[in-house]
Amino acid sequence: MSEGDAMVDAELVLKFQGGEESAFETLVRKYMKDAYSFCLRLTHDAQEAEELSQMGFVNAYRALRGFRGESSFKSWLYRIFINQHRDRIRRTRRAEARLVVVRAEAERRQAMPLEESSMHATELEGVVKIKIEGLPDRQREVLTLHLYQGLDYREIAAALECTYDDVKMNLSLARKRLKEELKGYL
Amino acid sequence: MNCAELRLDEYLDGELAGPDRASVEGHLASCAACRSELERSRKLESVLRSVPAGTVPDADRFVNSVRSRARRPLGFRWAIAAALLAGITGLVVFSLSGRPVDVRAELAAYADKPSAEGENRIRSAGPAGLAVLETALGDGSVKLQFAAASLLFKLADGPTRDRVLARFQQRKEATATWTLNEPGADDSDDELVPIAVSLAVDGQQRWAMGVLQKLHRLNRQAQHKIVDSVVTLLHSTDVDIQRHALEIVKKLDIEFPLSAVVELLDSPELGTEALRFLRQETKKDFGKDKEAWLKAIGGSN
Repeated sequence: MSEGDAMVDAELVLKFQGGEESAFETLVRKYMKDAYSFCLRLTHDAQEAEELSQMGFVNAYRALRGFRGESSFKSWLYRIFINQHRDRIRRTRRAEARLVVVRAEAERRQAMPLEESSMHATELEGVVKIKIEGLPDRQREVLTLHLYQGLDYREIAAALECTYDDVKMNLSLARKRLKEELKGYL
Repeated sequence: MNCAELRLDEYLDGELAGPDRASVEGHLASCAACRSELERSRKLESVLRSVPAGTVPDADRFVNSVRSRARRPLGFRWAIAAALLAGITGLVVFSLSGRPVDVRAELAAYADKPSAEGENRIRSAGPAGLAVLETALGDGSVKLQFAAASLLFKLADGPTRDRVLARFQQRKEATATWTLNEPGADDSDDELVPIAVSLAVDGQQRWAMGVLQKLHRLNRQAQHKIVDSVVTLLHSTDVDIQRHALEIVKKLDIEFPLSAVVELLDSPELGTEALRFLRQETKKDFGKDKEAWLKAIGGSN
């Protein structure tokens, strides 16, 4: 994320805190695609992802007046999605259920008659999802934020409320494990 | 720099600059093994990135939904969540504008039966009233906690609600481990009751019912809390909450005061269901005549 981009966010936050409601809508429009795809990668369920991302923004709306800019708005927002997601997992034991969903989806796709090239692509997609899902929570969060959301190490550290070195270590462990588990595809 | 010291991931991720970056590049130029490892890392990135993100929902619909949900007052479910908070104990009586309002008494009355008048009287107490409500979140009675939380979330401003939720969050973190374990007969397990009840009204009945049933069997303190909280929910002004509470009454093998169900007979949405339940439980039928019902069940409740 560029510094200019962060400045734009900071200005929008200030405007919202000053009473300009439309500034929040601008932030939602700016981040909804990222937020939704992030939540989809966490949940593997479109409906749940939409619910999680919408409620994340709702909670952000309610908490934004108290936001003091200790981290970037973007990191702060991701922290909200992550906390919500963790909360859901704890409450509903969704982790196991998600794995089942991913497996079922992969099996369903594999059962579909497809051209050879797309067969390979969908099989790979299923395998990758399962392997990512099998990572420990922190490794999966770090990897997803980095790889799919494009956050740098500092932004991830702020979002997960951990240190730069924690991010580095978890990313490295995730890669090491995935290189081993996906070696047939590398 | 040797291979073990090589910061390959940081290099790949663009986290290195200046001399650090140059140092890695210098090593890579002379080490085939590390070049090969870098290549494998790049391939892995490419494989992982090949997984598509999925179709994003329509932006206008999404934004409209967020807007309407954000402006909606926080509902009873949040209130229930907040009721889990442990806090300061003891309530005070105070006055505002020269007119005394006994917030504790008003709260107790509201806990028995929520009313707009009671809510208004507490509202008229201003910030001091909210402080009393916040204090009441730590009160021993679950019934009072529910009522206090419900009012707090209706009347308090954003920062107060945020503060209350933050405390709730901390508490929930602490209880998360044992909420997922099988509840037993430990004294502290009765604290699970509000969590289980809140999940039951949040559409996760199967798990919650199991927990409530078990707690009821094992823990005397929990028995009172379950009955108190479900009766409070039956008196809610939100028909969905009432519906869930009635489901709990129907499904759980626990003796609830039937008078609370009689109160539902007036409800256009739940009256018929309540009547069916009362007939089944008592093998009697007084139609929607509340007085007759109350008289009939008076001895057993």
